[in-house]
Amino acid sequence: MEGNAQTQDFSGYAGVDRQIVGAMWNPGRFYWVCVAVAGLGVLVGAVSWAWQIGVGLGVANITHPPMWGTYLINFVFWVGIAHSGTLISAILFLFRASWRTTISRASEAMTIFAVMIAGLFPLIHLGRVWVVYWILPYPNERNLWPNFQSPLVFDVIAISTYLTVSFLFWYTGMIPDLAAIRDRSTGLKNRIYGLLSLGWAGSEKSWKHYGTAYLFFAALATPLVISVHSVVSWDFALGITPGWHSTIFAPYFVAGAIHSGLAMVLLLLIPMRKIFHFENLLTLRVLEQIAKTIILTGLIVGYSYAVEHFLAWYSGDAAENDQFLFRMTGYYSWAFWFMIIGNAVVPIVLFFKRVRTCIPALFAVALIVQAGMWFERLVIIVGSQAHEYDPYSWGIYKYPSLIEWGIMIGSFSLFFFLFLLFAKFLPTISMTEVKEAIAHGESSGGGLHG
Amino acid sequence: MADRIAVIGSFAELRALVSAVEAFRREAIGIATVYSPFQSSEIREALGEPALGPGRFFTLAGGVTGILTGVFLAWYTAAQWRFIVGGKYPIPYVPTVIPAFEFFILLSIIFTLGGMLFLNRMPKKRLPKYYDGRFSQDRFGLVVYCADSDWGKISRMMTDLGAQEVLKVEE
Repeated sequence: MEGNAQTQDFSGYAGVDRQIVGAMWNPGRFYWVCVAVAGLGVLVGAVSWAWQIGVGLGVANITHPPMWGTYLINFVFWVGIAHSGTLISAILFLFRASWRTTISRASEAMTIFAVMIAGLFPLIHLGRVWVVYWILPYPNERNLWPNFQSPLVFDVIAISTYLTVSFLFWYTGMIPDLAAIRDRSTGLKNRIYGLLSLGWAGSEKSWKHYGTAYLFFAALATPLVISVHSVVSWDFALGITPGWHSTIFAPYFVAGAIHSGLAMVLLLLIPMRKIFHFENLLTLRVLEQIAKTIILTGLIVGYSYAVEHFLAWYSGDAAENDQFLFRMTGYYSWAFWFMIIGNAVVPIVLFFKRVRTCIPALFAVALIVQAGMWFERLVIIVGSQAHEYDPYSWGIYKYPSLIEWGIMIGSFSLFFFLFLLFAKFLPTISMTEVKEAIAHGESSGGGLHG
Repeated sequence: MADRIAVIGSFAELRALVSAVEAFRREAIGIATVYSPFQSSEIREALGEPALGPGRFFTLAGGVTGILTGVFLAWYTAAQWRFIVGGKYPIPYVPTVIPAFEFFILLSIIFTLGGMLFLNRMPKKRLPKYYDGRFSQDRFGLVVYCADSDWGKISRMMTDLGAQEVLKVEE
C-alpha cells in the first residue's frame, strides 16, 4: 500500500516538521508560475469590478426577470464550496476518520477563502458598493431594525457565523503548528510566528484545554455546516417562484454543497501533492476516500433531482410542472442535462477502483462535478426566474458580458491565489496531527492511514 | 545553593515518557509539567487527568448567552415593527429558531476559544522557563521539582527510564 509504506519515510517526528515546513520555505518554481497566473486573474477581476463601479451595473448582461445572473450563481457556488472544509474537519474528526488528518487544514483554508469570495458577490451585485452598510442588520434612520425573522437576515447571520467559526476553528487548530515553526525559525520569522502562536508551549495542561476546546469546536461546527446551506436554500424556498418553493431544498442544497466542496478538495489537493511533494502524506488512499464520499453525495444529489421532478409532477401545479418541463426542454436544457450527467451520472464511475486510484481520472471527475454544480445553480436560480407564472414576464438571461466573465475569472483566481499564499506562509498539513497519527501507529499498528 | 531545583528530562519516545510519568507517580514524586509536541491520551492517562477540562463550562455559558441573544433580537425587532396582520402572531416564535441557533453556535465558539485562552493564560509574551524549542518538534519534556539533595536520584531515575538528556535548573 502506497500510504502505509511511505509514512515510514519521515524518520521520526522531526521528519514531519522538516517536510512540511521545508515545503513552505522552498515551494519551487512551478509554485511561482501558479502565483503569477492566479495574480493576473485577480487583476482581471479587480479591473472588471472597477469598470462596473465606474460605468454602472448596466455593463452586466442582467435584466428583468433574471436580475442576478452569474453574480448569485457564483455566490451560491462559493458558499457551497465552503461546505466540505468544515465537514472534513469537524464531522470526520468526531467520527475519528484517520484519513482526514492530512487534508483537514487545507480543506478548512478552502472553506474560509470560499466564504470570503462568496461574501464579495452581494457587494459586486450591489452596484453602489460604497453604501454596503445599508444591508447590514442595524437600525435605520427611523430607528427600526431589519426584521430578524426574514430569510435574508438569516442568511447574513448564518454566513457571517460560518465565516467566524470556520476561521476560529482553523486558527485554533493551527496554534501548536505555528509554535513548532516558531521554534524552528530565527529573526523576523521567529517573531511573527511567535506572535501568531500566542505563546503556546505544549504542556499537558495546555493540551487538555486545547483538546476540550477542539472537541467542542467540532461538535458545534457540525450542525452549523448543515444549517448554513439550509439557510441559503431558504432564501429561495421561502419565495413562491416555481422551481424554488420546495421543502426538499435544504437537504438538497446541503448535499449539493458537500458534493461540490469535495470535488474542489480534490482539485486543490491533487496539484498540491505534486507541487509540494506531499505524495507520502496526501496518499492515494486519502484521495480514494474522498472519491468514495463523492459517490455518496452524487447519489444523494441524483436522488434529489428525481424527487424534485416527481414532486413537481405529483403536485398537479401547472406552473410548477411547466417550470420543470422548461428546465428539461427550454433554453437552459443544455445546462440541465450537463448538471444531471455531471453531478449524478459521472460520479458513478468512481465505483470502479481503477478510476478511483487513477489521479488524472479523479481530477477529471472532480472538474466535471464542479462544472455540473455551477450549472445546477444556473438552472435553479436563473432558470426559475426566467420562467415564472406569467408568460408576459418570461425572459432569458442569454450569456454573461465580458465584465461578468472578468469578475468570474477574478473570483476563481482570487480563490487559488489566496490558497497559494496560505500554502507559502502557513502549514498546509497539520504537523501535530500527523505526529499524533505516527505515535498512534507505533503503539497500535494503525497510524496515519490505518 | 537553592532549596528547590527543577529537573528537566528530555525524551525522544512517547512510550519512555509515559513510563517515566507512571514511575514518578508511583514514587509519589511531584511532576510539575509535561511537554509534548502533540496531544496524547497516553500522557493524560498516565497523569491521571480527566479527558475534558473546565473549558466546557465556558462553552455552556456561551451557548446560553447565544440563545438568549438570538431570541431577544428576533422578538425585539418583530415587536418594534408592529406588523399586526389578522390571524398571525405579532411575534411569531417559529422563525426565532434560526437566529437563536446561529447565535448559540457563534457565542459558544467564541466563549470556548476565550475559555481556552484564559485557562492556558494565553496570549503569553514569554515562554516558560523550562521550555525547550524541541518540545514542539520531536522531544517530550518532563519537569520535576525536588530538593537539591535529590538531584542525583531523580536524574538517575530519568536516565534509567529513557531520558536522553537531563538538565538541572535552579529556581
